[in-house]
Amino acid sequence: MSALTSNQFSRRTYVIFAILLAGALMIAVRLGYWQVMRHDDLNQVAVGLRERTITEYARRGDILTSDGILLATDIYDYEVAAHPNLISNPKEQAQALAPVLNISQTELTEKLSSKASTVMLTLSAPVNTGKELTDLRNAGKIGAIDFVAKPNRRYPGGSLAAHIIGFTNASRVGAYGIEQYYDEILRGRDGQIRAESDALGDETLPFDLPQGSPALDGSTLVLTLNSAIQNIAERELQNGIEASGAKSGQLLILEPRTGKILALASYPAPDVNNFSTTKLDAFADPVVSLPYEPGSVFKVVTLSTGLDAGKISPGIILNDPGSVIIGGRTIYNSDRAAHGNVDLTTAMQLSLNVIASKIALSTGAKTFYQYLHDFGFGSLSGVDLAGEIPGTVKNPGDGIWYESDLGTNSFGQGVAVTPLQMANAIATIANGGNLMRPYIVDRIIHPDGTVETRSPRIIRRVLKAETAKTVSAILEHSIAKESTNKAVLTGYSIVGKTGTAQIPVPGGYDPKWTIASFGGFFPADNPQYVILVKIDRPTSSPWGSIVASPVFRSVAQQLAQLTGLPPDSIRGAGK
Amino acid sequence: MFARLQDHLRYQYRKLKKQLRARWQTMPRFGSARIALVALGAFILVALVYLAQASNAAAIARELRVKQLQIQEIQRENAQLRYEIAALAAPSAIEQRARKLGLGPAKRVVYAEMPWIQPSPNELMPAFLPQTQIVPAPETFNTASDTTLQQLLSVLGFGSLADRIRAQ
Repeated sequence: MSALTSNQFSRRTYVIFAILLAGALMIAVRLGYWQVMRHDDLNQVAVGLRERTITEYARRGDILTSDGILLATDIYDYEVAAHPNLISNPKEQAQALAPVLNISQTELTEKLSSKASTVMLTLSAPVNTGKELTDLRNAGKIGAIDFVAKPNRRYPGGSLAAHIIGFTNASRVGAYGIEQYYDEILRGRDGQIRAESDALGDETLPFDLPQGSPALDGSTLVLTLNSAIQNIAERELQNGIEASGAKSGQLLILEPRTGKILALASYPAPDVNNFSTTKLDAFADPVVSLPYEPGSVFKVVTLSTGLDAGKISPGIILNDPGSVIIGGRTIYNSDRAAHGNVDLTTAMQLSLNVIASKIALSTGAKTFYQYLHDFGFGSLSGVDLAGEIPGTVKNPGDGIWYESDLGTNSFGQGVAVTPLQMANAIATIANGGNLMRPYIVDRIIHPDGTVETRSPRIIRRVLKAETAKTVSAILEHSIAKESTNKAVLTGYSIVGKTGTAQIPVPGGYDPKWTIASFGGFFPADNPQYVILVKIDRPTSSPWGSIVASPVFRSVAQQLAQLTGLPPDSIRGAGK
Repeated sequence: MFARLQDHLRYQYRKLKKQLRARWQTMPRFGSARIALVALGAFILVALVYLAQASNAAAIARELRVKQLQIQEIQRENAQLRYEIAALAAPSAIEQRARKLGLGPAKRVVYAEMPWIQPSPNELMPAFLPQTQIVPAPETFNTASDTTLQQLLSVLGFGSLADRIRAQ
């Protein structure tokens, strides 16, 4: 091999250098392609491999009664899933998991040995599962097992106030009642947490603190409801319905001075803890969403309008010939009898349709319907419950109103009102003529500790205070005069009116069924509680005085005992 | 005299310069390596401090995350216990147990007159619900805490102005 000349050496050096340079340039170009051109998507893949995003579910706010009884809350269940393609020891893992998940070892081994990338092991493992699985993972006994805590809505009171609360569906959206009305406030906001993970997807690498937005829990609602009063209302309503052979009914208790709803019972009550197996219709609260023709309870309103408008005086004597013709339609008393000259107390005591019609006639249609609207009939009460409907009140001149309607409306026929509207109208009389906005959420407690308090609000003055007092006195005396009225409460003066309403059907009224009701308040001298009892389609008797009045008395009696309200004689009422 | 002193100083200066130059030339020639060593040492020191801090931060982060998860676990268990307590404290559950014990609603209530006690009318009315002020105002929610403006005014010493806003 001859020695290389200086020129040859130099040339070969240049060639090798050029080849190396070309190679280096190619590598540089390729690197540039991967590092610059493909940077974003490759970075995403890399981050995806080493990071995982965990959804941190927000806790939905609690719902409490005013006396601190929990009506709705979130508890946690664990969803446990496995990635069998990453598991090399399915038998050993199944052995460790079986007692924790309460699933047979054979079933688990089968699932963990499958070829699927992900298999669900359970959707609802109890709350202590999380801790036990963490311990197993830290001990190296399990891997490639995901477990996520998911909040689950529960109602510890069972059916207590079920209609009021509503429920939260599988998507954690409130449906019906308070859950729907206050969904935004209760819901909170789910969080997204990004954390470094190992090859099995377990969040174990300690390189950095998890990043992302943490969950923001929902606010807690404190209701105006009192659990003991609500329980009395529900129990007595059910007793009344069962005793009368009815199928359904409602009972409301309001605090007339403020408009607070102390109890609101509807029977039958839905099973809120198993909403998926319950018909959705069962959750609609008839108290706000099912209007009815109130019947004679409505005479309280007619009496108030006549007195307040100055068209009749408290001492007026009216003649009852047994029937009256209004707008071409003959209106009779329920007993089809003529009672001659009667005062207002007797008219209310005997619940005379003819006298009620005469009062409405003397009040005049325009004034009468103006009062009806002032009482809140035909419009939303503004209560903070989902699904409220305004009911129906015809008006002169709207095309569907006839003169005869003035007569029938005066005793609660041909008007559709919700039980809440009816109770609130009675509360207006109890409250000296002021119509209050009924409300059920008293306070909202936010996660940061701030508290929003809801104030009672006067919607409008409907009656003069003097009128309210006069109406109360007339009704009190009419009840006291009825020796057979089963609403009479020993020791306490009560104010109220029975109602036996026919049920409209296409082409007229149902010949068989009625709605029996009693609406009133007590004690008469200082009204504390307005109670409306409504029982649908009783079979034992159609009359409100027989079916609904005893329920009123029973509830009032227990309310007095519960709250320590002394009888009139002890309080010196009327002195 | 002055000229002799000047000559002496000049001589001493030249002598010192010559000595320094001679010493510099006799010194070993590994200055670059020494600098490199010093730089390497400094780099290692800085790296150690950084690694120690990073390791410490990672350990604290891990500990924090573990504590966070433990808190979450406890909160979940707490929610479960609250639910169980609430289920047992529900009026229907209590009533059921009370009835098993032979208890029930009072059939008769007797009030004893005690003329030596003269309660006020308010004391004779139910007092289990807090009394509330009624307002004929538009529907609003009142926030219990002060607004940021009120807090700021109070901090700046304009307490009376903050009170006036609060009163409104």
